[in-house]
Amino acid sequence: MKVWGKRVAPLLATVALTAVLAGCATTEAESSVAAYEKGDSVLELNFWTSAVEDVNQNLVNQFNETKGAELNIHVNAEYQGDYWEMQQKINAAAIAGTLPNVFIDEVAMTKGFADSDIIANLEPFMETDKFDTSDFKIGDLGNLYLGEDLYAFPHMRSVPVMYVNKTLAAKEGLDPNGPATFAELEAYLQTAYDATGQPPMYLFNYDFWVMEALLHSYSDTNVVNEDETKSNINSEGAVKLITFIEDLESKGLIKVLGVTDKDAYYASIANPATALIFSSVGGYKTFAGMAAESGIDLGVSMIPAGDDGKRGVPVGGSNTYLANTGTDNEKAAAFEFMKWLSDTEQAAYASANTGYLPTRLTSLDTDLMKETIAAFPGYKVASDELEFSKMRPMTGTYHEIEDLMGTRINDIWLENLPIQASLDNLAKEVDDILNR
Amino acid sequence: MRVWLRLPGAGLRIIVSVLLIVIFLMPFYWMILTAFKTLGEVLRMPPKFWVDSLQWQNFRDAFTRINFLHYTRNSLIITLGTMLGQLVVVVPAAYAFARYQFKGKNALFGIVLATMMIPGQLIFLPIFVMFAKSGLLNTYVSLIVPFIASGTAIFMLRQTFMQVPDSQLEAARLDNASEFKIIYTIMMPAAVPTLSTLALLTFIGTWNSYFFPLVWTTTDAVRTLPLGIQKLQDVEGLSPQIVMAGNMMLIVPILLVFLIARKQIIKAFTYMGVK
Repeated sequence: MKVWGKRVAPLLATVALTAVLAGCATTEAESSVAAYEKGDSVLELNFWTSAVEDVNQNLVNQFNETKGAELNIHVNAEYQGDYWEMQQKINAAAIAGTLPNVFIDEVAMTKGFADSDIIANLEPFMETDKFDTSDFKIGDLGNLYLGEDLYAFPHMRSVPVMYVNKTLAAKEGLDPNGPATFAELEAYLQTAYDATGQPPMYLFNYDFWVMEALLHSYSDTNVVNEDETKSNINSEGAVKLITFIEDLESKGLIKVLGVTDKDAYYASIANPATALIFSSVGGYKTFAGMAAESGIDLGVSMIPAGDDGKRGVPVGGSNTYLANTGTDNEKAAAFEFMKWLSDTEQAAYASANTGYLPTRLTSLDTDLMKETIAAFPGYKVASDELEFSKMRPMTGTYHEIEDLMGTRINDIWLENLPIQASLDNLAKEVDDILNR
Repeated sequence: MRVWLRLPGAGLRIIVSVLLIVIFLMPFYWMILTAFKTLGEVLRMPPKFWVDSLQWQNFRDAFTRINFLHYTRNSLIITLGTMLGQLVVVVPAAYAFARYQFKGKNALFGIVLATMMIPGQLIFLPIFVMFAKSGLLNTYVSLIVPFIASGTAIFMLRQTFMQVPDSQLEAARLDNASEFKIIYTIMMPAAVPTLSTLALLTFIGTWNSYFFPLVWTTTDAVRTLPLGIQKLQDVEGLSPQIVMAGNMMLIVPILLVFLIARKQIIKAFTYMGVK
């Protein structure tokens, strides 16, 4: 009941809010804006944070003590919950006129916020500041943009990776880097299964972002078509993927977990019988610590390649957004804070203390990141995987679609429903939402 | 109940009883067990059903890593405030619906009942905007006032008040007792089991409430303990033993209140004919 409430209630609220905000439209941006002018009194900014609360709070404290003190800007960080809770709170605040100056949210939400005029186009601010974004070139940047204009700064970056139980692999003579391709996956899992008699891999597809990686790599397709008007979830590639996983599941090689089993999914990382798991690199340090508690040496490899070596992984994580609220000087001050937050040292700090990847190329050259990568080589693997990165669907209704797809696809696996017919029905439902 | 009586033999009844007890108690046992484990023990496969040594520091960690006292104080203020507010609003409303004849009574009562059928997700936004416009966001008022006119409570209390004999009210009125005195000296004593039940239901509902304190607050100022525990989950990452220690501290007041009031609750549902 609690899980239902936590998943469905926010979704209902989000749908209601999206409908209310649907009438809003993006306004034309000016070509440049006035730069921040330091006043005699301290300018207070509100910054709503989401996920990894302690890291964000520490960064804000650092800003207030250094750059903020220099510029007479004080930032108040307020934690608002996970990405989806943040989304509905931002939408509600937009209607009530209580938006914060800056906020963090998931990368795929840029278009939804921009379409509703909740966030500001950053181009005029960058024009005034002569801000150079070339250092952001770490992975696909599509989710920062709407058309040609930048609407967000990257905050933390993640990609799905394959965690490998190197201890089990060494014991059973398996490749410690895991299977390199999906063609090798079944044999790899079969060897582990024969050794332990337990499921060697767990799949939690409610984190649909991971499924996006499988659709890219195994099926060479995306969830939706290019202009996001039609679903590809019943395409030939998608059907092949769902069939492939069902086959592995029927052989006991993958255990598909239900929506209430998220904790069990994460706990499976510390199970000595688990050989592989697909999850975000953002949890790398936590997962490595958990695995170590069970005496497991946890490795990180790229998501296996599909036919002809095809790979594709969606870029996830969070962006910082400048809200369309306050005076021009407050917006300029908020932009100063966003610049500082996305700078080399801060990006390195956020990455080293979590598992997320830094958002700047220069961060990789800092001593902190060099030490971190030396101690946790999985960072390097994930950085290399960014070569195959793809942007996530941008539609403002994507969270609703993700939830629907996770539920329907799990139903196929857990209730043995006919795959093609079920995916055809699912595609119709997704199309209805896309064209609503 | 009848099915239960038809079961052959006491042995089977005992087995079924034990099974039911295990099913109901297992989640609580697991929560308590996890709260006292180390992370290594929590993650161990196959899981252990006991602990080698009690890890009291999990409670200390849960207590210190979030501002536990702050969240607890907020939960207490909001829960007790809602209960008191309901007493002031619900009792006279239920009395009016039970004992007065006035134009539009049935329509009004229908509206009260209809409020029970509207999902909170549909009304949270207008209420949020209303509080934001009136500067009441992040205040106790915004988390108490919307819940004091409870349709469920008015309905349950009305049913109870309707069962008080007319003769008692007529006798009181002959003695020139005011309506307030009638409520206070006749109606409320007769409704003690119902009032206890309502108090308990309100206590549990408000104490555990997650959605409304989440969407109607934007700072930590008046956030409640369930939000604090959720924050603990985020701060602690994957440390289920600390989160479970926090959850244990969250449910202790509910268990205590339930243990104290359980006889009154059974009485109330019997008295109201709601089984």
